[in-house]
Amino acid sequence: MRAFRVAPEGYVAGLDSTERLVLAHVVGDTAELLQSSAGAAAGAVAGWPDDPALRRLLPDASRDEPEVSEEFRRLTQEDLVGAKVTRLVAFADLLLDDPVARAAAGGVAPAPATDVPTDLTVDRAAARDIAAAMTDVRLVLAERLDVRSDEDSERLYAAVERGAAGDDVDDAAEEGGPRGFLGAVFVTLGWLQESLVTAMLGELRAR
Amino acid sequence: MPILDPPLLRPATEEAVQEDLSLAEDTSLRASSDAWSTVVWNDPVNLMSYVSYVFESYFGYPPSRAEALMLQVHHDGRAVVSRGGRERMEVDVQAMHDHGLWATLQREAG
Repeated sequence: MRAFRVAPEGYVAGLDSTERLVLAHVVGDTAELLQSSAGAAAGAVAGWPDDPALRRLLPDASRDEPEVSEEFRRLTQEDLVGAKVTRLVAFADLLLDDPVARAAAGGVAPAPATDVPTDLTVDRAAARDIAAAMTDVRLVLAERLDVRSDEDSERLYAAVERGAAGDDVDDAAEEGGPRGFLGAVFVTLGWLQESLVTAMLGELRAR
Repeated sequence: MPILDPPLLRPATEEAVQEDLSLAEDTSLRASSDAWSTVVWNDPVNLMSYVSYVFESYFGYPPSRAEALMLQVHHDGRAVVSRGGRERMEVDVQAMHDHGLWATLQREAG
């Protein structure tokens, strides 16, 4: 995987087909989670949503006044869900915009295995949306991984970095199993997002 | 990249852009019965660079102010990022949630 760099056409990273498929899968899961909450805000009651990952994506707007939170949720939740789902779908489409990944995702077998990274280009106009989509995916992953504090996050980074043989997201993380896998995706996506946002900030400040 | 043009999005932006972090100096707001603020809370996921980016691009804060607010969120657990009437704070909170930040609105002590 190659981190994002600034290019004339936008911000360009390098991902191989396995990395694209893994990320697209996780992005798709996040979109589905959000989509499952669509339409429910009209009848929202205090304490909803139950799912802590959804709650983090759609947090309460007030710490002390439940009526403020409920009114805010009724007024804004559908728009927020719609915008987030749209961005996640666009991110998944971008990841799958690669001949090998597309074939594999479409079940056209057999796709030739490749470890060769191909360019993933994010237009300047799309960058803010892609960065936001990356955040939403990482927020859900963190909930599932019980990352609740900065220390939890640092421990997870350390474990993944110890366990990974290389930079490939498909290498087994130290923990192994689904949790190790999600942890590796969380850390790798964080690394990718950091390079994208650094590039975006650099250009924003140069204006 | 889409820069949300601050003057279009937040008509009273002149009152918000101050180098001085202690917004408590703005006594006219504190005296108002319609004084609310937007608070951004720390979380273990959001990158410091991303939080700075959001403060600079959405609020139009200069890099020094955006970084100072981001560090305040990081070290103190929270920071007030804007002040104004309730409706405007609701817009700001919604924008923060849209970016994946955790924010709340609160009444200011009158």
